[in-house]
Amino acid sequence: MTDEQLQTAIRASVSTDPPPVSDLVAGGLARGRALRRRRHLTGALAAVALIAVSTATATALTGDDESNPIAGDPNASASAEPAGPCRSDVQTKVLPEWARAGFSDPTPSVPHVMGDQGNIVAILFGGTLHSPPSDEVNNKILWVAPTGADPGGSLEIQAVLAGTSQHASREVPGGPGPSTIDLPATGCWHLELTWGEQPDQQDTMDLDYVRP
Amino acid sequence: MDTAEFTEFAVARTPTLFRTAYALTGDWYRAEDLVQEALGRIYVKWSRVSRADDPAAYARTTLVRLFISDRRRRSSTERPTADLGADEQVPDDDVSLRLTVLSALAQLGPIDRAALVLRYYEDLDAASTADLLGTTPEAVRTRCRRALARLRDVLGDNLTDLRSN
Repeated sequence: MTDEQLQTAIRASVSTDPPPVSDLVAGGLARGRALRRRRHLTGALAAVALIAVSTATATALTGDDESNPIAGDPNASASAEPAGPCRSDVQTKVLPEWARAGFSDPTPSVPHVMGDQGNIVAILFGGTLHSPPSDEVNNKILWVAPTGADPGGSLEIQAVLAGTSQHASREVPGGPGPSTIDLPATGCWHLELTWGEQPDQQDTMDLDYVRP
Repeated sequence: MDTAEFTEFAVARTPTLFRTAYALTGDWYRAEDLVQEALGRIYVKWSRVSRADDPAAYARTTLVRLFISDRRRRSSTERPTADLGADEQVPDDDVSLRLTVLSALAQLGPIDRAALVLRYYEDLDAASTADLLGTTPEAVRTRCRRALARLRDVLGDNLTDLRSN
């Protein structure tokens, strides 16, 4: 069977009856409106949380200010999300194939956390993340994604400490790659990761920071 | 937000998007779900998409990347079956051909499947396929070569009556 025959067969295999266009369009519109409502609600909650954080004198750190210690009680602000079990699932099994570039071992088993959508992986070189940073092992994270950032883009990280309204934001220039991510408190941080506009350039994950 | 303009675009593009989704998923109902999810994402960004050079290409990119992202999330043991769903008017002499090829496609990994569908169903060149998949044209050619070889292995000698154009 030649490649040309296979290619012809692929084209032929996709012939179908016409889909229910009006139903699909109506369904798409409904999903789009629901998505837009969720994003507006998330934005409103974030705005309320920022106001609560500023009045409680907690500091939302930016990527170029990683050395400031915590100011104020991280648990004093109104909760933005309920505290629950941290979903930070540190795996030690072999990395997925798309994340192995650069490792001399063809089947590297290193501590890592997979994004909830499977679009990015956080490889934890120190194994455990600490807040404040440990003197012995830094919080080095190698971010790897099958789809990189757009040219000139970066990986933007918005982190919220579970059970609080404490926020932190970080940026990795150039997109997914090596970074040191220090966060201002121990606990379970929920991360929203964005490195482009397409669905596979966004993801979420929980990371657990413990005392050294 | 011009909902009427978006609706007009969606009505025009949905048949093509659906056929691509069906080729990727091999399942009528999953294809419906994938198309609706892609349309929803495009609706949210419509003010920007409508000003793009090629909104149709943006829609296709969104659909394919959603498919790949979704497949990565699902269990690696899950294998979609070729399912014509509500299709009741397929020419009988083509049914076994379509089912066999769709079933074989479904056994490939998501990116291999996407590469073959984009190259040989959507007729994209290697460069456009590479842009959409976030890789290089050479990597696309290599992937397609290997995926076709894999498809040939999966189909084996069962397929003896391929129809050509």
